[in-house]
Amino acid sequence: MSEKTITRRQFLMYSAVAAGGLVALGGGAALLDQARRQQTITQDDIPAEPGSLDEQTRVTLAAMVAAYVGTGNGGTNHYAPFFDWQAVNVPEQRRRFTLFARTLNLAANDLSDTSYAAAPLDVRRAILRDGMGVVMPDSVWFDPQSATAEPDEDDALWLEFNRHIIVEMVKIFLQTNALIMLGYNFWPGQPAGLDEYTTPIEQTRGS
Amino acid sequence: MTDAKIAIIGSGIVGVSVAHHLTENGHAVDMFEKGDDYPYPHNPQWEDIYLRRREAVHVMADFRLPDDLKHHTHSGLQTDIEATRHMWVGGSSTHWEAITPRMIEADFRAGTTYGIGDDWPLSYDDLERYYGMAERLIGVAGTDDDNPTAPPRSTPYPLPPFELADDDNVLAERLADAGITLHTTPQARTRQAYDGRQACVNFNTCAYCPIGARYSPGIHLSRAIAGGLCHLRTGVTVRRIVPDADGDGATVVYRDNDGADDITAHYDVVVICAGAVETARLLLLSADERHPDGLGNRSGHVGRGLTFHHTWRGELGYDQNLFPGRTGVWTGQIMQFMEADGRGTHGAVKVEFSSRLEQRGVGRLRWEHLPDAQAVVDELTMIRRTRPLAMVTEVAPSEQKYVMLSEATDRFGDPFAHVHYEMNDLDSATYDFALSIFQRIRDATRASTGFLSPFQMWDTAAHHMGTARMSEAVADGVVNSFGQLHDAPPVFALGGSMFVGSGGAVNPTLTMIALALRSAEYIESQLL
Repeated sequence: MSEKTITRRQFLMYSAVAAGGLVALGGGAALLDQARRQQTITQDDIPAEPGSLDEQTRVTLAAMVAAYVGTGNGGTNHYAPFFDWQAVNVPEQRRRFTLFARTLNLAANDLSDTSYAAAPLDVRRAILRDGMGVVMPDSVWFDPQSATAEPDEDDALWLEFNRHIIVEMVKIFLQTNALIMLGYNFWPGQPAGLDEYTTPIEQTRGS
Repeated sequence: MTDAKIAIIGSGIVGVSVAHHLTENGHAVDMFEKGDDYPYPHNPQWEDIYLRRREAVHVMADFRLPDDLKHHTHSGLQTDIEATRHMWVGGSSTHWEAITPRMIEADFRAGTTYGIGDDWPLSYDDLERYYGMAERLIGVAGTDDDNPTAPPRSTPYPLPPFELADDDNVLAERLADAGITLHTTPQARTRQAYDGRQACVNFNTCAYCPIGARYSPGIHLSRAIAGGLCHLRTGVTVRRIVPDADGDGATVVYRDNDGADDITAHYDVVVICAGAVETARLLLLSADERHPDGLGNRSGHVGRGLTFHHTWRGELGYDQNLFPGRTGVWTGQIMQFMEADGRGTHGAVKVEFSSRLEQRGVGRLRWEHLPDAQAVVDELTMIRRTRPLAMVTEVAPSEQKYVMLSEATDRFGDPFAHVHYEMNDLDSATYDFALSIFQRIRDATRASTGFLSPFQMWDTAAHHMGTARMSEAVADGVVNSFGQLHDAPPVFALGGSMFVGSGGAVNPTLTMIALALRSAEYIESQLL
């Protein structure tokens, strides 16, 4: 199946809208309907102080992680405690998570007439990859030799998302699902039992 | 105040071992800890790191003392030792690797046998019984059946060994063809349920074991406190030890970390076990009219014998997938180079070549990889084929390795420790020897890639030793073989500080506990 593609500039329109203070309300079909009725709110309604995430944000973040990790790679439930803890304990993170979720939903709404969580996998991935295409010069993974684009003002919102959300998600991925994708059966933190490491790995898979 | 006759300064694995022995035998102890409580079992920290995915460095920062309480200055030293000095309840052994081999017999007489430093004032035979006690205390799993270098023992390991990993076995066979023995690792982890501790279930997160399978001092400290004979004071800084003029006891001068006034308490026995750097610092801070150069320093040896185990790290890459690191326990060790021909022209080397998971390649990722999870994984395939190794080496004391008082001071105006450390020709020769071993292992295991860090890039393995060394003669050291200060008999300095040199290349903690238990017996029989 070919993946849905959007241009980065096209997508940044949504970011710009969000950054400018206009974010669509609601989720799923409700979001679409409300957006069509041009019922918008400012991001001023997002609580500035740390606190629990609302359900729509949690669902959207989970859908984002699932889009990134894919299926059958060890599951993605272990990301939620990170988002929840950060929202409650790290200044600005609840606001960022909420704004990030609304941005994803706005993009999904335009591309597939659904919320982000309800959007097809290729749409969810396309939106995520487009945003992650905004390079982050202060990342340890930024290579100035190979960078093709310098971030501009329009990238500011996704720079913030990448810096404070995406990078953290990738770090968790590297410590967990990436190992499963490499062929390991467990990642550190999961009780694997002592037979696990003494047995040839192909035998542990029953093949 | 309590009616305790014994003060223990430092709540790490040595202090707790002493406290455990004495309280089990009915003696009350007061324990002083500069840091705050550090929960045991370590599941709160584990949950932070592995459930909430907080970075370990941030979790540890929650417990770290501020810089005006915990700090040192240094010169000549290229490695950061501050990060290996954990000042909280349980001390550095809350995070140790729990590798617990015994020193070999020759390590006790490295001076006369190899010309490296001086001999210890006690022999392996003197300590053998206490090694067994230490192994039973902390629950050591192991076997000597596969280790031809292991010293003789009178009692079996209390727990069966953790086996070599599947990938170890592949490489062990190749090493055997080259005359190198990769053997199992003695370690303080519960291969089976032991002494109220659950059996290891291989969480692979040993620095923060959530179930106490890896030994942590909190086990016995919590029991000693629950028994009512151990009173733990946290958040207090001991500033001075003042021995009585008549030699009957000593006064501990301390202050709440947030307090404005000194508090004093008198004891029959004061046991300092605050790590090699802080123990030397406290002895030097305790200078008075009767001890003008510092307590225990009539010989001038306080701080002078500082050693670390210079540890060079590297990795070997293979063409085949080995899937290393499916466990957090330590698997393979190579100890035969601790007795190699030529020791004396170089130091002993112990090789840690275990099945470890290393996130190799993560640093080579580039941002453009990140949008595609599979592309990320494709950049990391060397994880499956790469094993780290570490060359842990013997170090001799020298005039250029020492601890003294710094010009920088803590919040109370007391000087911090200053560490001066310079490598010498023996260290260079030891590196060359370690490099030759690395090359032998690389070739024998048919590694396709590999490197060992250069001479200048070493770390201490968190092994700090020798700053209040043992000696028979007063002029040759700070303490006797029981850790008792030559010039202040009610005061003891235990732990790595009492080592003569580095004790070969062996991980020091089991020896520290064995010495501490021997000292605790001595204190009980001679001073109480």
